[in-house]
Amino acid sequence: MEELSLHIIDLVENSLSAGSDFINVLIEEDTNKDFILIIVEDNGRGMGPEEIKNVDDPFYTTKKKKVGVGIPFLKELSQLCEGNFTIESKKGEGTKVSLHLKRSCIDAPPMGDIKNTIFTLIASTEYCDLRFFYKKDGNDFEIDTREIRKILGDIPLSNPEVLRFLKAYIEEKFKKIGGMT
Amino acid sequence: MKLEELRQIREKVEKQMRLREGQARIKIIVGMGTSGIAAGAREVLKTFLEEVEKRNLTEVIVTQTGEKGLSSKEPIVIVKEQEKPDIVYGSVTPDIAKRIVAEHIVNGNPVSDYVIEIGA
Ligand SMILES: Nc1ncnc2c1ncn2[C@@H]1O[C@H](COP(=O)(O)OP(=O)(O)OP(=O)(O)O)[C@@H](O)[C@H]1O
Ligand SMILES: [Mg+2]
Repeated sequence: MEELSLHIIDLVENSLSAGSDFINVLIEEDTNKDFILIIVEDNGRGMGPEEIKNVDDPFYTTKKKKVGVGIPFLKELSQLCEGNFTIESKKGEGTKVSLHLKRSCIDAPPMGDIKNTIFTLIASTEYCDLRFFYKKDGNDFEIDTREIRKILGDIPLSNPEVLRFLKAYIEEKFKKIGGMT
Repeated sequence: MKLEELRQIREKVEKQMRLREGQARIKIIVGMGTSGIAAGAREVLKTFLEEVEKRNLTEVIVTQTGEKGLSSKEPIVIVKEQEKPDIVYGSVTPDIAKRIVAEHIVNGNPVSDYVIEIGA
């Protein structure tokens, strides 16, 4: 997958599949300090020590995996890009996956369409709450479905009126922080 | 813009919902497992959200699932409609997503060329 934002979706989907009802995503890019940090933290079913060990070892997976996807890829990428990759998890409590990379690394995929990634995930996550905190070169933007749902009640986030609002809202915030639009 | 603006939207939508009570709800689910994402599921999901917005489809919910093993024909899309069997589409692109909205969701005729399964 040629964009880091697609890998972010992948990590969020792992958290959803683990039955989480809240996922906290932190994305930080810094041009001067030359790093990218991605953290996805959830309150899903978690993993025991054995499971964690198996997950980031590509030879342990039972399924046939395409190269360039999933957790083993992110781990390899962090090694290629002078960064690090960690999974902290506790059975029954949740999981925190962190990826740290040197931003200028030639092997690092570009961040890609992070604005639309945040918009589509926020608008289509029905049973789980999602918070995104995106920071670029010192400016940040935050959106949290818990706050949105508090105001909206039972109205789905994919209601057309709500979609129009969310799209404009996210667009405006991105302009403000000078992110990709 | 402030999130508080959503409060007016809520009032407006609740009013509309009261008028339309009892109408069928359609759910569009996009498969977002790893292979789905790699095959372009994000663009498909985005297209459905755009179409719902453009056509003002208030009775439609667009959502996604990370569950895997659904099909090798990613990206897959499931259309669930009350009292009708689930329709599963395979190899969906943004263009096919637009057709699914126009032909199936709005006019009630599934886009049969891309249907890979009809559920219970
Ligand atoms: N956030 C998480 N919470 C709990 N378990 C997780 C989490 N992330 C990964 N896992 C475990 O690690 C396994 C491997 O994850 P990985 O993303 O590599 O593959 P997958 O999600 O099983 O399949 P795919 O992503 O190809 O659809 C998962 O099946 C799950 O058991
Ligand atoms: Mg996965």
